[in-house]
Amino acid sequence: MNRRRPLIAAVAASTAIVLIASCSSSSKKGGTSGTNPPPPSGSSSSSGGTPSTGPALIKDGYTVKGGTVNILVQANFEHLDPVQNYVTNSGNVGKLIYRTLTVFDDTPGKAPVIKADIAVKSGPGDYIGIPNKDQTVWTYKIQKGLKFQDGSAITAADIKYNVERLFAADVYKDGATYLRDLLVNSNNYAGPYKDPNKDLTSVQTPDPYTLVFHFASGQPDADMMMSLFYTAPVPKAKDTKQDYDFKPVSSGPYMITKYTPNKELVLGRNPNWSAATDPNRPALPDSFDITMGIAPATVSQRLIANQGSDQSALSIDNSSDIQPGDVSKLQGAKDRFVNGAGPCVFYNIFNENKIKDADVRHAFALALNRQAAITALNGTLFGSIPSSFIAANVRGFQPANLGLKDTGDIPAAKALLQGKTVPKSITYGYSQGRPAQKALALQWQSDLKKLGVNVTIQSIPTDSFYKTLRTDPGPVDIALAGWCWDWPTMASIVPPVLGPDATQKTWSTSNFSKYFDSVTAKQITALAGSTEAPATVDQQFATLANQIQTTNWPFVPTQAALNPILVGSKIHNVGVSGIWSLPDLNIIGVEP
Amino acid sequence: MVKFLIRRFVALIGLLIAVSIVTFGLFTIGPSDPAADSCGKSCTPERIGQIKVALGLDKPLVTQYWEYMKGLVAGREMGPPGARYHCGWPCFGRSYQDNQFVWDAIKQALPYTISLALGAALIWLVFGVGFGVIAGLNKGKLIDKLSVGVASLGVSLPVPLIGLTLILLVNTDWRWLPYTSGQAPALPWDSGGPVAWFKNFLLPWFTLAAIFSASYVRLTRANMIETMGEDYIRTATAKGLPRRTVTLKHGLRAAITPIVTIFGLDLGGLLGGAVLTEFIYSLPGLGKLSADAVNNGDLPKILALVLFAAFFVIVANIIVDILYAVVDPRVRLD
Repeated sequence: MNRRRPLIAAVAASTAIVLIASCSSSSKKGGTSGTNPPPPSGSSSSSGGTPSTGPALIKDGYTVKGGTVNILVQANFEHLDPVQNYVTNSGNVGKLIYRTLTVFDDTPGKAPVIKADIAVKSGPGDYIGIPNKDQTVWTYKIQKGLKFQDGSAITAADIKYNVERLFAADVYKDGATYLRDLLVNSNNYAGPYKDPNKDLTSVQTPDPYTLVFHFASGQPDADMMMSLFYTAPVPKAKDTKQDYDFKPVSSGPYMITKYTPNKELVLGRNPNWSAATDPNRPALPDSFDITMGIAPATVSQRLIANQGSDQSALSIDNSSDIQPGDVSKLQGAKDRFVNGAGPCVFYNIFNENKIKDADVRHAFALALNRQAAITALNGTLFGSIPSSFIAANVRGFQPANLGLKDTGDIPAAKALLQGKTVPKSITYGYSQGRPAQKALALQWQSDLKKLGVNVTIQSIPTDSFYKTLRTDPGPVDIALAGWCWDWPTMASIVPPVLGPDATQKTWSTSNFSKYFDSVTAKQITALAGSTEAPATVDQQFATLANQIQTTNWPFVPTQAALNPILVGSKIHNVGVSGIWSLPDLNIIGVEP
Repeated sequence: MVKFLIRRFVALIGLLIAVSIVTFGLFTIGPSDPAADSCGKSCTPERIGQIKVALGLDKPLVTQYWEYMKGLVAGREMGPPGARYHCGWPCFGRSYQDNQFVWDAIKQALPYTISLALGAALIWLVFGVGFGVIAGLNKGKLIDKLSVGVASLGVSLPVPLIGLTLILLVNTDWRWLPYTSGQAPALPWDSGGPVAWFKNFLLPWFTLAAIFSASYVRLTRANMIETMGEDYIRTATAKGLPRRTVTLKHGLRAAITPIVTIFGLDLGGLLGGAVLTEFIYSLPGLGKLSADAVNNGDLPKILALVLFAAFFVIVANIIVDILYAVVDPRVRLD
């Protein structure tokens, strides 16, 4: 969905992060260990941290401005309109074009930290915005003197206008929807087009440099929520609606100077961007020249060959960075290669409405050879064994005490199944056209056969994969799903993958295990809106999530995704962005 | 002639309508659900309903089809209330994948496909028909065996093998031609001008032509052998006409008639996109556009490209019928 579908961006045909995440696992190409030091097979699962992948940042410390970065991608970007831009490759580019109220400093190798961007830090403690007591109202002060690319002033009204566009759900089908879902909407506001006389009353602009957001419930993560592109300013007079995708007005260091969809996108410097107002964007290169429509195999070979203009090249399609057949050639390019973790963890879900006994699910998890599963999912270059379904770079992360052996533990699984009613046959569903998932299915088949369970492998069309997983009870007992966080807190992960839906009576739509317990449902919902200190909430969330994982076994954490990146020899400051799982365009520099 | 053209034009419209109904039906009644695919993590029935409005899928199927067809000939208004916009004819709608107008995407891709198809067609006609005639006139001789042998080799080698081998040898090892290394080749009006275009397309032309030349050599050879054995050829020779006149005016003209048919269909099909060749040489033509659209479940593009390919094939058939009358005096178009 690339990818695209689009790692993530390339296969993310859908805007859904869950879709992105899951597609991505299967779109990554296989690799073999050895070219980059693979994580020791036991270390990641025992430590629970991000596995050793070498330096997080290579050729860093470069501060010279100038030069052109050549970016090679296989397909057109889904969206560049900030209200719809939600997948990783276009997101990586979007951060260069527009600013948002807040922004993540996701320096490779470090835990992402939220920073003020257009906003001015005004809140108490670590908060950027000013919350009221129950955190339902957040006030943001914004910088004065910021300008769009045409020199006109950026005001609170421009940010509010883009949030209003978010409510035009019948016009914009893609994009992150948190503000639309969580802001109060008492007058059924449906965007600025359908009824231009209506106003989004839950976002107020008492003066040109203040925004006040009214949420329906307490939002402790509001600062992080404001980092998504729906808070990028859009001047109302320049809103071309569905065509804004192709001519977004810049508020960031770069603006579009040429765009031929499917062919080329060129970004040049925005003369009205002021570095003094934007410490988060080094903006070293003078321009970015993005060429579209290049086959992944060609991208991989060009980056390895490192000839001519490709010395200043990189890809922001994970699926294009390194092809399986090219892995052995990386030895000669070690100084241009870096690998790192992003926001995604993949796990095999157990359909709890089909495999109803938690001990049976636990036994199946014990039986899985997760080391072989990593190999099936394209090898150690692309992932390591996780100790939780939560990514290790999430704030307050705590590994779950899974008690699983990397190569499987058949005796323990058999012991656990003593006296239990064990299904003779189950179905493993994999997404059609995702060979890695099929390889994983074969691993399950092999491992569960040792417990006397036959696994039927069922191919599911890719475009209806998640719809099939959501059906209740559905045809599938086990399948691979995943989650990539939008911001690195437990509250952005645990509620959607283990929590209830809005009615509090059943599982949520991305809770593919169909785990539901009325007690934990209440706990999850309460924690998601808790106004206690973040560290306390993190601790409680981690404890609850790990307790559910190790007592209920809704899933078996299978792969913490890694993102190998190869760049041309003239590219500097190279590392994997913890948010985008891609080379972080924001920090790179290039020799002229 | 006029009557013929009118008749065929009406048939063309009818066929396109039939193709559009079948294609539209296949993709809209099928299991794929574009709204659900775009729905994301907060997917609710209400959200799916909103996406259907955004995609124009909320209306009855017949209405959707009528508006689509109306857009093709007269343009149409698209988008929900408050965000309506005009999509000029021929309006194929917007891509579900990247929001681009489908017609814009086709217009971008078309020059690459036309460049590829026409250049390759010229090569395979010259080589295929030329060597076929020579082989046919020299049946059993070395040149015949060589032509047929090379033709057999050409037809049995897959496009990826020919393409990648040519890139490896000509571009990379020998460096006879510039290695575009995956970037879209220049078009004649791009900065490099016609020279860059010619250099960039030379290998794709030969790759594609290699496959077709082989068929044309064999077909022309067989036809030539058959025609040159006809009584009227013997009569013409006996009357003392020069061999060149007998061969070209009487022999080749009769032998080429079935080749015109095949050529029209081949060229019409290729104008719908040569997927493999376009992929190997990173040509952003209609073939690649089609393959990407299928991979992404991008129904507006798929529908448009099927219609487009059908259009080319049908038009090619009409042109073939007209050419028949030119090359074969026995055929009349009334």
